[in-house]
Amino acid sequence: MDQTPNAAADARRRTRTDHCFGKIRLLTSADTLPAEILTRRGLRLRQAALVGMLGLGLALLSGCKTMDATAVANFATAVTAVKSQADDSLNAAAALTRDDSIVYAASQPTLAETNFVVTPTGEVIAEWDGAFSALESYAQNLATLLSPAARQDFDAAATNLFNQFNQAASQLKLNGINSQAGVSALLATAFTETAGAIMQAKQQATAVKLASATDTNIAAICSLFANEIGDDRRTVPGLRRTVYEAVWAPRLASLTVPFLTTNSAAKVVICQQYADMLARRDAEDQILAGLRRSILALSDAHHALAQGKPASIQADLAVVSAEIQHTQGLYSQISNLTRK
Amino acid sequence: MPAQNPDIVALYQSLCGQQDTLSAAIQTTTDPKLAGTIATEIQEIAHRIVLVQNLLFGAESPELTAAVRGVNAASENLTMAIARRQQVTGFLNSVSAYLTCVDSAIDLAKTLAAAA
Repeated sequence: MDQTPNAAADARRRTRTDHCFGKIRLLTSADTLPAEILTRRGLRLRQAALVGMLGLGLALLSGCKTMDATAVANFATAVTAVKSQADDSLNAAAALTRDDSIVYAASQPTLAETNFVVTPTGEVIAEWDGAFSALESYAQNLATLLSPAARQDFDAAATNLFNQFNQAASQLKLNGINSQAGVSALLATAFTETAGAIMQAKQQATAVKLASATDTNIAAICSLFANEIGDDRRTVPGLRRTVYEAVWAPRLASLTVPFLTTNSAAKVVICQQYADMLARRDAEDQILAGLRRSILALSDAHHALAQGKPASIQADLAVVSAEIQHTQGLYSQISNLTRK
Repeated sequence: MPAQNPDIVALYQSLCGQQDTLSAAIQTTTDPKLAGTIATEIQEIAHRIVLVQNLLFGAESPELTAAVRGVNAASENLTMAIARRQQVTGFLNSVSAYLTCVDSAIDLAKTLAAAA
């Protein structure tokens, strides 16, 4: 299923794939990124480029004769896009809690480091980044393994993937020593198991079989990420509820005393602030919810890949594309609210 | 794959539950002084929610289970004190007792995480 009938068709396919996704590699290369890419605006631009490329890939997939290769390439593009989405969303949440920790610290009788707490911590963001880098590399390697010419190099390529997953696991274990989150250890286990699955599937020497062998662990990794975010903001422990309770509850409450001690005209102004805060709270929550949906759609897409169901992959990756576009709209909304 | 630590989850849920109760209480308060007091406690609980979020996947232990049991007992007292929040001294004492129990549990969870 992952091999074309003749080498010429395969060569055309690879040329097209390289052409379509070459720009993405340039955009995500740390060496070529300008300094402004580190700002939220820069990250949004990068996301926009990734969404555009993902949309183009999905359009190609619709009428593509070499569907599997394009589907896998689109999956790889989607992983890169979600990695960028995760980076933006987690840093945005961290910035919110950092701002509030400053307000909290200022309310305390002494200036103490322990009063400055942030979530997600730098270690957690690094864990996510490392894990997504490994998944990104995995997806890109899966795409290259589709070529019949790669058949003879499959063993070496699979071994390379095995090493990458083990390296990711080692790094996560190292993070686990420095982090109190405990997520690192869980992720490291999943990555080690994925590496093992790759080595076992190596004998079967097809990308789909490789994806099939790793599918359970890829799903577990995505599930762990999704659980860290939480599937709602009111009942389930996770980042969404934490931001709701630890950022927005005190910010909203802080307007009560000014409201109770001022005149009618000023109350209107306070109520406008309150309404803007509610809107921003909802938008920030939807950014995290969108990231969660993207991650779960990636997991579903990988499962479809492992099952050899290209139509399902297309539908799942369309979800990712839509979520990222929606997130960009939310960032614009927040930007307008904060400018007021 | 292992999940979140159930004791830490219980601690987290307790804090979030009290935060919801206090947030609802401040919205029905007309006394600015009492509102200021409640807002301060909301900020204190928010700080601890962030701390606990960072420990959600930490190690389990019987000591932690006992500490969270103490939090739950203090939480029940606090819930009653919030309902009678016009008695400010009693309210403040209950918040203080609750946060003391929470801080002990957090310190223990941090120690366990560091030792893991």
